[in-house]
Amino acid sequence: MRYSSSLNQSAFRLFAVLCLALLLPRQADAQQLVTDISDPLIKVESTFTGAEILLFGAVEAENMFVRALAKDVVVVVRGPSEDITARRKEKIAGIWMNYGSQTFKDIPSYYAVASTRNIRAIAAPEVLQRYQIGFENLKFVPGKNKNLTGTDEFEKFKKAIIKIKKKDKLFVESSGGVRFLGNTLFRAAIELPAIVTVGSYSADVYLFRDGKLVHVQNSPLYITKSGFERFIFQMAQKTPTTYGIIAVLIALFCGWLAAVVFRKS
Amino acid sequence: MQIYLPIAELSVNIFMILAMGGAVGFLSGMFGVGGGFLMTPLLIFSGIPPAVAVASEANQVVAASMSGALYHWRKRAVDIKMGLVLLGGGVIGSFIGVWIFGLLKKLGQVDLLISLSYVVFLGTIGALMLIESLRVIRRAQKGERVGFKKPGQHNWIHGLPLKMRFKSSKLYISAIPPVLIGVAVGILAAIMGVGGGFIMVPAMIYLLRMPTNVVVGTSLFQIIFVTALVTVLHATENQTVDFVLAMLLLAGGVIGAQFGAKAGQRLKAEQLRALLAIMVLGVALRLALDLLIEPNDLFSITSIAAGQ
Repeated sequence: MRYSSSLNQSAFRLFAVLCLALLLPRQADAQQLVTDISDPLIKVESTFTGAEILLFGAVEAENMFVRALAKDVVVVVRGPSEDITARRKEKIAGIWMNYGSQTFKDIPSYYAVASTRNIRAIAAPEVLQRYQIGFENLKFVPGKNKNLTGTDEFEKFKKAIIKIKKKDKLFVESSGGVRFLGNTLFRAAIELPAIVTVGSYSADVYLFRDGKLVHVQNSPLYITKSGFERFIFQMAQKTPTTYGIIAVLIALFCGWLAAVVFRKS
Repeated sequence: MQIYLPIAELSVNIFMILAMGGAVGFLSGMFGVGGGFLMTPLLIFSGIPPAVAVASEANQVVAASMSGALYHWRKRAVDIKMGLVLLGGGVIGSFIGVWIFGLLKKLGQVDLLISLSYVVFLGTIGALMLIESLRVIRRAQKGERVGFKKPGQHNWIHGLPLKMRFKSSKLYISAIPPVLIGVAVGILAAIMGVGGGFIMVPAMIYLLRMPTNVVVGTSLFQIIFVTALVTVLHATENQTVDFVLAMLLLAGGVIGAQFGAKAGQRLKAEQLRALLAIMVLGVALRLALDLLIEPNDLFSITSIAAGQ
């Protein structure tokens, strides 16, 4: 039921965007970009197994007869930043244990790129680097405690983070993930796995033409724990001792209940 | 059916968790052990972060030991005074254990700490139990009578000061050994997410020479308080107690334990002990292999929200 209603909602939004696109004043050189997200507030409830967000928008063609195909659209969704420590195991005294490590600051906990075609074909490396589009263009700033910048080690740790994040589907790159439906309308589906961090996300839609960025549109997106999950999580964070005591009291009650119930049988 | 765990922050199959709770509950009912030493590794193997597995399992053991202790309480098989002395040590041990846990979590060595503790303790206890039970089985086959050492025999422990009288256990011994046993078990409870019965029961029988009929009840009595403390400490220090996970494990565990207790009555004590020993060794071996074999991915990552 919930699913169908959200589908209806996205259909309505799609329609609204379309109307907006048609009503926009047509300037001679305008590269207008209009975008929207199917569901800007994602609720993490007990049945949460991940989510799919649908980004859609319209690029205005220069005139009625020229398709918008010379343009490229890149969608980047970034999650709240986190400090990541990468560790490497080494064999010490016959046991594989964590030995070397490197901390990186402000890495997006989630990072998805969808584009009309391979991003390397869309723009020059410098441009992609400037806007941090693509995993290899993400800024990996070392943490205070240790700095291996410039060494092989640094690159290895960086690659390891990208590899693990990709495996967990927290870093996603999909060329061809943005698809044009006709001349002006495009859509991109972005998958969020169940282990996503809650918080505020941003979805940036970049419009490129001949390798140059002509327009950026940013839309916020929130992922929040809701209902019972939110209640438990907030309590565990804000009043941890009370939370622990309540968890213990409930466990004691359950133990007592089990003893009473099974005594009779 | 998937369910989202709010603290572990991942989605798990609800039936898998219930089945794991049930299976471990069955074994714990059958062998009269808490089952934490099996559940924590199982949770870790199934992808729950080790720190969350340990803390949530401690929360579940509170309930399991409560229901077990009530059973023995009714049979008047709990030595409260001994339990309180053990608990005194247990409180000190829990604080030390949670402190060590937090320290090694910062250093990125908490997984190693958990694995190593399991390998060392389960390996040792499992091997000792297996040898002992096989010896008993072999003797029984030869038709010899098995003679246990009688309680009350003197050993080095009787030379220690601070003697106390434990009426229910019919003992007059120094308070130092029970306190030390309590400390050791408290540390283990915090690090391994176990009640520690598998260490405490042999220690009470072989070191303190307590009569076997009060050993299990007293151990369970003490475990309630130690695991309760460990749960609160982990919740406060590390925010790793997943209440939803603990409740699911509990539901499966309570039901499993009832069937296990019935199944256990059909087996002989030494057969039970031999089976338990094999299982304990199996878990130890599995964890040891993870430490000894080169992992597929040498790298691992941990993250915290930026700016903390």
